[in-house]
Amino acid sequence: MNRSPVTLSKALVLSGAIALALGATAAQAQVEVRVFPPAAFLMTSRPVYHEGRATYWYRGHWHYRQGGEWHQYRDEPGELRERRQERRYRYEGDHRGRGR
Amino acid sequence: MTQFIAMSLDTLGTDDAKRPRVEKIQSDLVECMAPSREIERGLLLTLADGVARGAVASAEVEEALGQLNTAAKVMFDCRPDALNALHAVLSPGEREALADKVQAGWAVWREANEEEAEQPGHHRGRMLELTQELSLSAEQVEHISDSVDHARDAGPDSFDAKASESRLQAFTTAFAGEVFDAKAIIADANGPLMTQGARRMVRFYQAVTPFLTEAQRAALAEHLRAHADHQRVISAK
Repeated sequence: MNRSPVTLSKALVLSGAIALALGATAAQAQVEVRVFPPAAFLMTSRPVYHEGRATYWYRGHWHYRQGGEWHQYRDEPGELRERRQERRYRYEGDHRGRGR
Repeated sequence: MTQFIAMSLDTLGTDDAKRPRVEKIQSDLVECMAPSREIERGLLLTLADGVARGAVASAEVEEALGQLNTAAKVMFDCRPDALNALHAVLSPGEREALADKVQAGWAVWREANEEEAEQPGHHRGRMLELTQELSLSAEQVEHISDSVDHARDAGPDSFDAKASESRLQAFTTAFAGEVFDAKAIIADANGPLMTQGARRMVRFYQAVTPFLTEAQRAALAEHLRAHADHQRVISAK
């Protein structure tokens, strides 16, 4: 299972959709910045359905909502990677077409 | 709220097989909103006339605001069949996605409308647009900002954000569930949201108008009329 175990509720919410997940060991402190899609993005973006739920590609990660909280896939599922590449080719194809 | 639902269907990403049915339902929902859109269009034209004249008469706009509340009730009665059909056609994941989009619409609306009522100077974004569109002087910007703040302080809102949020939450929770009957929903947030949005718009133009030159008022009135025409185009679709 490649879903992130870190949820927004466990993170320190700074502002809006930005959350900081802090983890520290005795030897090393790690700071991981997690950025979740803002409301305007969610409202206007078309999701891809994966495992029965709507997922959104935002700032380099696939995000989905569960129980009113945002989660993200730490590793990109193969199906979503294919869909993302399809979308990119379609987008680039549209733009090449317009330029002709 | 009906508008949030109809808008959300544009980007819900349903599969091709069910898209014609979803588009038909969306069209039915848009049809339910036609009377309120026509009143909003009339309100924009009333505002345009007032701005061009140099003063927006409260009596005229209050009448339109009252009609808007009535139109919201008509919309509420019109839409249950469409919402029940929508619930039946969508998968559980799509229903949850729609509920999330409606909640997101509310968050965006609140940022644009309701927060302004609580925070002095929150209208600065709109002031910036107005400044650019009408080439306002620094002195005009200062007077208008003070006037908008004063209008907000002088006329506290009767808008109950918590009640609207709770109605919206009740809808999204019910819609995301397995069993849903739109006829069981006894109240929604359509009326308060539409009236509050319109009232905020009226208050802004009432506060702005006295500080504009005749040429600026004419330009702003033209902008409002163009916006009203856009409403007519949407209604005609």
